[in-house]
Amino acid sequence: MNGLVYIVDDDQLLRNALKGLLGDEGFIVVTCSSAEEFLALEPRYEPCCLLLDVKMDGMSGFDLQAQLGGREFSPPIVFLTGSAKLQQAVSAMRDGAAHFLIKPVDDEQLIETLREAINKSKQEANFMSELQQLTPMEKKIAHLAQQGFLSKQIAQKVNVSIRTVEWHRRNIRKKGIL
Amino acid sequence: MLKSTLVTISLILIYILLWHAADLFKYAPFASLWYAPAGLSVAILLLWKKSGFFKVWLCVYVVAMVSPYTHAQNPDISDALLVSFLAAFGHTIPYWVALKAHNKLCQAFDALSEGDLVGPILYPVFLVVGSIGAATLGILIRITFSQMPASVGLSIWLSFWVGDYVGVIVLAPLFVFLGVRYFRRWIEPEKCFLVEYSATKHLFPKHWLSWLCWVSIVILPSLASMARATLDSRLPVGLMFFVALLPIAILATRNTWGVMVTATVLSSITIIISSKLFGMSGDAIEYQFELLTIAVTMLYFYYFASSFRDRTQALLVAERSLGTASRLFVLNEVSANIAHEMSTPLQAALSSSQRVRRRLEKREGDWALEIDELNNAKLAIGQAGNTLNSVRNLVKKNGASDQSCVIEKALSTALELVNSITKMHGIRFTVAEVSHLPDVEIEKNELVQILLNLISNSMNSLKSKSEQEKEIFVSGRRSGSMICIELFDGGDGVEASTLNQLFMAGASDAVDGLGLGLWVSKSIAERRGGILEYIEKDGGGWCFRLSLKCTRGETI
Repeated sequence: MNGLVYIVDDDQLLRNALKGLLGDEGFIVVTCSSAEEFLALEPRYEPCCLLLDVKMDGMSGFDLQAQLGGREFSPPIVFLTGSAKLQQAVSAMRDGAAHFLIKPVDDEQLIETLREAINKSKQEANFMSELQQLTPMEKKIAHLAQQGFLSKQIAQKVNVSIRTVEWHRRNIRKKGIL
Repeated sequence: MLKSTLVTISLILIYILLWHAADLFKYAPFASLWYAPAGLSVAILLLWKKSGFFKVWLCVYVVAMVSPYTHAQNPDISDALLVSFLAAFGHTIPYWVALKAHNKLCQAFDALSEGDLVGPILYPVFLVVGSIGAATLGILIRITFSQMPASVGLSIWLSFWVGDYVGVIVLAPLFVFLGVRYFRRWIEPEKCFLVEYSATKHLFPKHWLSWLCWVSIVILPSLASMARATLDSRLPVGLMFFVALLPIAILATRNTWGVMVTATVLSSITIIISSKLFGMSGDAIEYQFELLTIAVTMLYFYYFASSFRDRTQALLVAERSLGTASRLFVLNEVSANIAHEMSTPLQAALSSSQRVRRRLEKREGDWALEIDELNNAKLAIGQAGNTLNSVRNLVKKNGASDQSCVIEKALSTALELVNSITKMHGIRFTVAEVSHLPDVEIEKNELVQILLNLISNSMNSLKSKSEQEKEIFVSGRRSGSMICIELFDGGDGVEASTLNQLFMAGASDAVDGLGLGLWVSKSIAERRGGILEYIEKDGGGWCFRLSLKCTRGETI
């Protein structure tokens, strides 16, 4: 099994075609016709990725990305769009998208990209499950440390002293994380 | 402060020099003394928004203080102080009031398309009033405070007035031109047609034929006047003509050949008439100068009439270009939308065909032909994808696009673009305060395009309405993270049967309409995460609501 793929696209023909293709390749596929429908789903904390169209009726792909950005755990997003502009792609990648594909995309490239995204999701899911052992402050510091911030910068961001940050980082290491 | 002081001192020195320069000739003293200083006074008032009054007052005060020492044997100091103080006000206030009133009137007419003509037509009129005021007050002050007999005052009033008027009408443009061109950093000019004209035109013509005309306009009448003048007054007469004709020549040679010829003929006729009627006495020269001012006034009028015609033509060209640009914009949007719409079924076809290929590859049996065909299908779809990419690249805009737009600026641009058409049809706009609204996430030209489409539709629906009903209202308000802009009017509105097709491509009631305007507008709005919708109004008429996202900073 390759993992779970959410397909969010307002075109039924495309949803069905992609579901068939990816299903044959061992992906579990869940399709949604709109961003709102996806948001209504129960969140699943397992390795997965989101194959997302940009231009849809109602909430756009970028709007959905912005909403998911506020969540503790969100699946890596692979945008699949027919009207891409460089600036939009750069903006989406800066906001954390895993990939930005332009329709029509080759099946090999699509499957490879989705596998990469799911692997990334696996790493994040592992990290998230490890984080469950930590206190809320330790979680914050672990997140920032994983992003490469120094103790001094973390101290400024979470508004504590450097010594406190160092103390939390020691505790995090003791728990086998980082 | 230092800059202002230096400028003021320089102006006082120039003012005294100009005054003394006229005094040197001892020719028609009351009039000639004030030719150049009066011209400089008006130029100062036009070139300095706030401190102009003070500068002129100071210049006149200093000159009025100096004059008793140059003209009287034993000047009375206290008398000179008082008379100079009052005379400076008497000279400055009339011009200041006249120019302020003129500018206010121009601003009031600015909204009209014919407003450009108001400035040059009324400028001489206001200066006549200003110079009459200055001459009258000057004489009255001297009669009242300087023991000047009333009979003498009355006899020199005309000379005073002619001196002032000729100076301000002939020389002020030259001083304004020099100020704007060479001392721009030092001045804060009032918005005035003379300043605008001086900022955009060249002082001297470059073409040799223009030079020839310029020289002939200046030199020939000067030579003629010198030949006709009595021997002792040839030099001053020639110089005065030169000074008077110089600005005429500058104005004329920068415009049309017709104006140049007219100016030459007029100036020559005035010389002949004045020499025949008055002989070449000092008074004759004064009247002659007066006639020349009429020529200058005519030149102003001619220039601005031709300028108005040129601007109207430029506007028509711009409107045509706008129409072309609008059509290209629509074509771009259509192409981009087709590219987008085509890519989705292509992706579906590609995914389905490759699914079948992958399945066949895993099955036993000879599926080589089928797999080849499916690979060919993949290649064909890839080729179609490349074509779509070419279309996308064709319509792609160069450079980074600014996605933040000030609604007020976009609306103002759209209204300017339709200004002449709305005036032609007598359609009025009422815009509620939109300056307080935050910026929205859309490019300015995109928002302008949407507004133009909506306004254009509204104008079409209002054409057949009565004068009172020809009004389009625009309002804006904030709704959460969105800004809603509403355009509505008292037209016929949309029929219920066509309501569901309103935003569809090709749907149009107009005979010459493509039916793409609203479709493209909706498409632009949606691409920017916004909504364009039609709201039904109780009283009928159009009402479109455009909702756009605030820029990120504003949302937070």
